[in-house]
Amino acid sequence: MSLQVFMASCDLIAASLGACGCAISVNSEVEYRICAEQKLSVEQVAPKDKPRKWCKYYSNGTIDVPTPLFIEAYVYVGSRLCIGDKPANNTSRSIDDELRDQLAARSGFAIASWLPGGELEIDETAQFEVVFANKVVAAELLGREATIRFTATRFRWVFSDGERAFSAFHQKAFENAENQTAQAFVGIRVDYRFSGQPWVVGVLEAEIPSNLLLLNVVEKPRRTLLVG
Amino acid sequence: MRWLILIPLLVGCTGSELQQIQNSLTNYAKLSARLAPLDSVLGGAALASAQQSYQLIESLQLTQQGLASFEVETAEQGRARGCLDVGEVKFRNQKGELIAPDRPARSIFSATYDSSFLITELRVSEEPC
Repeated sequence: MSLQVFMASCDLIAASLGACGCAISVNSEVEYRICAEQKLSVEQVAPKDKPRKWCKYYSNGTIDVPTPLFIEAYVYVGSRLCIGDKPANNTSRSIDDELRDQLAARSGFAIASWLPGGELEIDETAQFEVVFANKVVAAELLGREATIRFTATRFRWVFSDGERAFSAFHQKAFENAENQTAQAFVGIRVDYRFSGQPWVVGVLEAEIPSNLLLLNVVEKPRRTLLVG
Repeated sequence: MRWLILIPLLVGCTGSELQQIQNSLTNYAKLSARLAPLDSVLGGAALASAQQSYQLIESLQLTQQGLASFEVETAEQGRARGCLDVGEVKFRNQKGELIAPDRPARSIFSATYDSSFLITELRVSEEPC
């Protein structure tokens, strides 16, 4: 079974931000994710006017191998270890603050059904219906309001006798007494809205299949009219 | 003899198409870097997407530094394909801190364009190049 997936067009800024082609999966329902990933890199450099302090250390230069004499000097903070210091901290370091967040939403399924159900006689009209509930999923993404919306935009029926239909509701009869199948496909449009911005419409258009309906089409029963 | 005349013409047309779309994409990169209007280079879904991104980085208060570059490898019948290099593009937030998104520096792109080389769709894959 081939499923149609049309990725929305991207652009340079989204590509540079790594926001093109966020995870999408389509099988019996559509899953769409808005991904946000930022890496904040802040270089912290020691200030130009370094503070100084009185520093004691042993004459062999260490703070842990005692000698009869020790040296006391007025040194820049962090320039060397002093007796009583905690393990050294680098004065220059990089902080990587990674922000990763994503909002994933699933469309839900397309449910097909038919009436009257059971056995269907040749030339008896059956009613086929597929239902897809439009859905809105809201949550927070990087601390901002984000919403994903799934909307059914088109319907397609495929019947095993070759007939096709393009509406959610369809009536038909079969001409041959044999097992038949019917399946609907629902076109889903995905939109999203982020941080109070207008809706971004049609970021994804995909088609999901409904459950497969199996129909047992039988000959019309012979009815004998007895005339007395 | 006719074919001998036609072949260079055909080759010339293909080369010209590649050069024209390369120019359009390069202009797009320059305009996008300074958040300038893009109507002269983009149309359709590509323009809609770019406008949404303009709004997004304005709302996030980011500024862009550096230029992206397109390297068109093939261009025919309104469809171009090649390598997009965003390695030089960086963003800074309001405090001036560097935002380094986690994405490949170079990835494969495809673009569709109309007869006036207006880019109507841009797709960027996660596949590196």
